[in-house]
Amino acid sequence: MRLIPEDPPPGPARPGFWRSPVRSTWTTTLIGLVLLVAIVIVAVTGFLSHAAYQPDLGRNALVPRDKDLQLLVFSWPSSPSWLYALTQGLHVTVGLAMVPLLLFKLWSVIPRLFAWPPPATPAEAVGKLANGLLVGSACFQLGTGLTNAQLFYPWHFNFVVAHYYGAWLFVASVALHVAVRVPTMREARRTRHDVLTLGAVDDPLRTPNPGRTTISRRGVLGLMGAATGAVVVGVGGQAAGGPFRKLALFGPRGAGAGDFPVNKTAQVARITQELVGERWRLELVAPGGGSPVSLTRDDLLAMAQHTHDLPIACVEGWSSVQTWTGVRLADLARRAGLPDAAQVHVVSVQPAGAFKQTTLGHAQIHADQALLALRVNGADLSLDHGYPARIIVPALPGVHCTKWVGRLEFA
Amino acid sequence: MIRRLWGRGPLHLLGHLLVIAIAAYALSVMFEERFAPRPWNLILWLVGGAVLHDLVLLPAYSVVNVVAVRLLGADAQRAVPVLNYLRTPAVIAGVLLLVFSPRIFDGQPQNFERALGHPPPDYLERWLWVTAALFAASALLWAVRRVRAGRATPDPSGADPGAAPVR
Repeated sequence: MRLIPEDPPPGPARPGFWRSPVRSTWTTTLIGLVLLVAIVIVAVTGFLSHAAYQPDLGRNALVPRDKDLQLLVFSWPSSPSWLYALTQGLHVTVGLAMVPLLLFKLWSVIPRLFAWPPPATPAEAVGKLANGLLVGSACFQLGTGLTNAQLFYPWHFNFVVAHYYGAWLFVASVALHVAVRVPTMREARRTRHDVLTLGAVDDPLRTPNPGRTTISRRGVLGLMGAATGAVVVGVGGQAAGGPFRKLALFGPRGAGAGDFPVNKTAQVARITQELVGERWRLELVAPGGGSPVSLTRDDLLAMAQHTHDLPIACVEGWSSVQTWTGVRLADLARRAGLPDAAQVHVVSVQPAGAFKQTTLGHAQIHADQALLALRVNGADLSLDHGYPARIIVPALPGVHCTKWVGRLEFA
Repeated sequence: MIRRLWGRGPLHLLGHLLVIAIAAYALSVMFEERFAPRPWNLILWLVGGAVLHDLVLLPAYSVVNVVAVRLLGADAQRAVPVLNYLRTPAVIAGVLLLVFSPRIFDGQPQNFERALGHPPPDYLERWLWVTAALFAASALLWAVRRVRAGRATPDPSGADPGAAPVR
């Protein structure tokens, strides 16, 4: 007795149910290749962002260090200064632009979801599960990413851990999918000519019951391009800056946010006048460097001042170049009595916030442009931008450019 | 042997085992209680997107498309059918609505204000203006082309009139 009938039940499993004449393996291959380029960009920049947080230093690790699959951890460089602005701008902008690409890809393969008969071998059944993991993790990564980048956190789990290990689910299943589909993609390219001229080649995505043609294949691909372009324009300007920022109508740091946004206000960090007023001091500490050095803001202003144009680049995918003036971190290391310092632990006076401390490495301390900034664009820092003093280091993620700095512990 | 039991070659099996191992480890970390105190919430997020897409979003826009194609069946015979001049702005506006839904529907505005120091602007209004502009531009393009086509060929004959719409 057959448990599963040979003919599919009425509905989406019937071969003639899906009728778009545009669906074919060739169309899917083309959309898939475009999507693959986007996935490679988003995956590489995502793993680079993990490295940029320098989880091997101090208490920087957001994903506990004893957890595996943290393969890409290295000393993050401090040049070029726009490095993190570029990689993270790409990560968020391309990540959001992937949504329409994924929608078109899923539209093109939807008949396969209902393919009849159901899997007959373990290979087919596990292959189906792998496809489920692929689509599930793709939606998970895009969903958590696009909500987080828009300051909306409607979940009850650790975003960083979930997005990082979700990336492994996604990347692993994409790699497997590409490996399994390479022969199909080759075949699609080879048979494209036959399909276009003869119209009849065994293609599981080509409907046997095509409806009236209302849009060409080129039209569908053009529509995908237009939708993707609209997302890029709608948000990309918060990374590209300049005139493009005004075009970014849907980016939180796009149109209307000004040229110099912040990621955390002084009020939220519970900074009071008391903490940053007359009694504020910068403490410099170094093991074996003698007693701690305590400097007033005037002491700092009396030291050699350096001015550099540097970007603040946020993990949320926006950045902004400003002209910063302040004391070189290398000079402060010398002043602390440890000119060859390999690390510095930066402590803010802010009572609240996950990033009230951070640890920087050798490249960050000794970069020519690495500053403890006191002024920006020719004026004293505003309270929201970190008055009386903040870290500004080239190529460093924004949250590691600690504001309201109170102590530097060199080591 | 492997081919008989598994159904495909040994590399196929090896690849799937490797992905299963990576996925099992990644999921085990994601589901640690300190990272996901409410495991059902994480399960919902992992499964929810794909299910909502396959069983709600795709069927919904397919039905809208089928209805639009049926309603505009007669128009399809004319020189410049209006269908794709509606589809294009609708798809672009729909994608923008989906991608930027957290801000368009003003989710947790307090997060925005805490981060930027001012309340969020009205993103819904922005989206409505963009959508109106897309449809207006598309309508203008359509009108110009139809007038031109009307002058060039008064009696065009094209697609098969009786054909059913496309899903």
